[in-house]
Amino acid sequence: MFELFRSMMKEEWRMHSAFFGDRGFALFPAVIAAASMLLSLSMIIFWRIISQTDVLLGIHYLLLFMGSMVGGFGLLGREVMNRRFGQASLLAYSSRTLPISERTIFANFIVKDVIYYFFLYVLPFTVGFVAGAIIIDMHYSFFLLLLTLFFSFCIGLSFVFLLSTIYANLGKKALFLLLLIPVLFLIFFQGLEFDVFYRLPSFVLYTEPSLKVLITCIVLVLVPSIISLIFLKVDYPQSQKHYRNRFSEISDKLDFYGYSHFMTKDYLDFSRSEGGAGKIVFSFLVPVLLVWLFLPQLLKAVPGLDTLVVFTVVVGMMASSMYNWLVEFDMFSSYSFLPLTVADVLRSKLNSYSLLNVFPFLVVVAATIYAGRLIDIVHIILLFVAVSMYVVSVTVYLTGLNTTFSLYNAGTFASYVLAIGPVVMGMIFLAQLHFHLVLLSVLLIPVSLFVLKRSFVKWD
Amino acid sequence: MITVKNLSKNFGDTKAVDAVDLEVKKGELFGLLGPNGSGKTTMIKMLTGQIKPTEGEVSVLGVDVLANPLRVKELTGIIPEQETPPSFLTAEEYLHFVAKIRKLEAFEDKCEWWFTYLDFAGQKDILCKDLSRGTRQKLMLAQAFLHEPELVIIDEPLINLDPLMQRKVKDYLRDYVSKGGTVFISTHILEIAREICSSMGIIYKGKLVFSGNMDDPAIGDRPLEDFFLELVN
Ligand SMILES: Nc1ncnc2c1ncn2[C@@H]1O[C@H](COP(=O)(O)OP(=O)(O)O)[C@@H](O)[C@H]1O
Ligand SMILES: [Mg+2]
Repeated sequence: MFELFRSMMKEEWRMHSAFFGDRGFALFPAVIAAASMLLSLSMIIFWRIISQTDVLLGIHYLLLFMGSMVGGFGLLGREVMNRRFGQASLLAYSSRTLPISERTIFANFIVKDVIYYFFLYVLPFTVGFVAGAIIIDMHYSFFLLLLTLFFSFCIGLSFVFLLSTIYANLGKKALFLLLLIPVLFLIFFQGLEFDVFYRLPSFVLYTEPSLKVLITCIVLVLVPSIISLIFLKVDYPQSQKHYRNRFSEISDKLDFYGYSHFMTKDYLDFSRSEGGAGKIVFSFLVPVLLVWLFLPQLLKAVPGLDTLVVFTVVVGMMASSMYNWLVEFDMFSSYSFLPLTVADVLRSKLNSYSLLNVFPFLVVVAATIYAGRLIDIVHIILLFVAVSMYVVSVTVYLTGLNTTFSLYNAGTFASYVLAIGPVVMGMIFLAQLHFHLVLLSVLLIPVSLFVLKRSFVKWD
Repeated sequence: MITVKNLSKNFGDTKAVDAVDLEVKKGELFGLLGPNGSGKTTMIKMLTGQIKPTEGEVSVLGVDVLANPLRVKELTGIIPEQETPPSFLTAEEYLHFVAKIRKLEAFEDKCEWWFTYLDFAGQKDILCKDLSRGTRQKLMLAQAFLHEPELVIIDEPLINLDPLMQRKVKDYLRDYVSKGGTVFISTHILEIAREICSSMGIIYKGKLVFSGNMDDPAIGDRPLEDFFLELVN
């Protein structure tokens, strides 16, 4: 049993370090620590407008989010792993060949994730944050914060595991219904008191520690995980489903694009893979909706900031995550024997990316109309297009076709943050000075095109 | 067709291919033989511009592979060792996809012919990721010949195929050559060479220890295995 656990740990480490390089990967926690230290140091500027409590609240939600991302990777990313490493090579699938039950393996798998990411994210984050605070003479209780942030992380992880189990047992429809309930609820109670967000148990455990809250946290972590384990269902893709040939039909429709056959392939990959086209709803529209709901509340802390501008910038950045989906399905080795260059494949992905941008584009337009700011539509659209293009060009330049994995490399990740952070902050700041300065974002477009051009050369 | 001069590839300290000179002429069915790990795959990857040599020159169909790998991939059909057709296309869709990349027209019938010839029409509407290894190999064979190239380069052509299919593939290769095509295969099964090849090269630990026609007097009538052991010792 312990042997299995140890091998899984090793496997995880090797898998990561094989992709990011040993050193790059070992430095990743250091980058996390540096980022959280900067975050807490920045309080020296922002302390007038954001209270210490709100910062604490923010980081507890951040870790909750990280936990659900890790869990979500388990849910949506399993397939990616299979494709890259072959199912047989992952220990998680060894119940087919070894006398161990699936339940044991998955229990190990979850515990491994928790411990592994504790050292990768939670610990360095806390260390950096507390260290930064000490420098500017603010004090947090390190061990308590470590514990409560860890709880935040585990609650996120555990709930996403539960969602994945519901999905595996009841299918897409049940999952969407389940996700829709809180979303509808939030929309319905738009006047919702912000106080609700202060009731996150892991956060309360820090501000007002008590046995009752501690138990609540433990229950929130254990119950969903245990339910997931009880109803665990592992699908081995043995079924050979038959599909109608839709290739020519779709690619003929897209013929006006230079890369219609690639776009058709992207579309088919996307809609036939686990989660289907519902992934757009699950990993794009739902988060966008949440941002839409939370942002005005969060921005109350920073008076005078233009919510619509910030929202547009955030959506532009989130849009670039669709590029990750697109490249997830491909390795260049599956094209290396065909008359194609890496640049061809990158270009085709960017074509699909522009087409997918219709969704965030509509979201931004809808938000502008909803905010009663139709007058500003040109500014907002320009801002959206510029940010989306710029972020994706940086992503392409830094990571090429290997986005998900490369961003775990400390150096790459740091360059990514440095290339994007200041630009995005700058745009928001300019909008603050004078709304018309948003039009300056047009400058990002030639910059992006230049970066893309360099990327094609770099990756060939 | 293929001219290789002083070609070497090092991976760190390993000399995967070591100063190989080789010439393959039009109309040959050339077999590159050697045990596992002797450098066959590395050799093929350099011939097809998938990796850059450490040293030496390669020209394929008169094209300098180093200078213009894309052109070489256009002109030849290639089957790599590890077949990885994209996961979420069906077998048939994959062939159509390749046909589009190669800018072919009226390819449907040709695809159909391959499904029938290699007897996998029943699997053509199944996603590549769910296909068995053998079926994937059939698909890779079809994709390499789709544009009827002058030269086809195949790493281990018969791998994962049952004896009946092996027979069919061998027949097809022989037929292809008799119609004026040129085929370059690698294999670790020595006897395949005697069955179908017109000439061969034997590679061992990165060095080409023999190259010549199958009727070369040095080989004689003995099993190729004996000939190989004599060369190596
Ligand atoms: N990418 C690589 N990195 C390091 N060593 C490699 C790599 N590819 C092949 N090798 C080594 O080169 C030698 C030849 O390998 P290969 O060409 O695959 O042989 P074959 O195809 O004849 O079995 C082996 O010793 C192998 O371990
Ligand atoms: Mg090989």
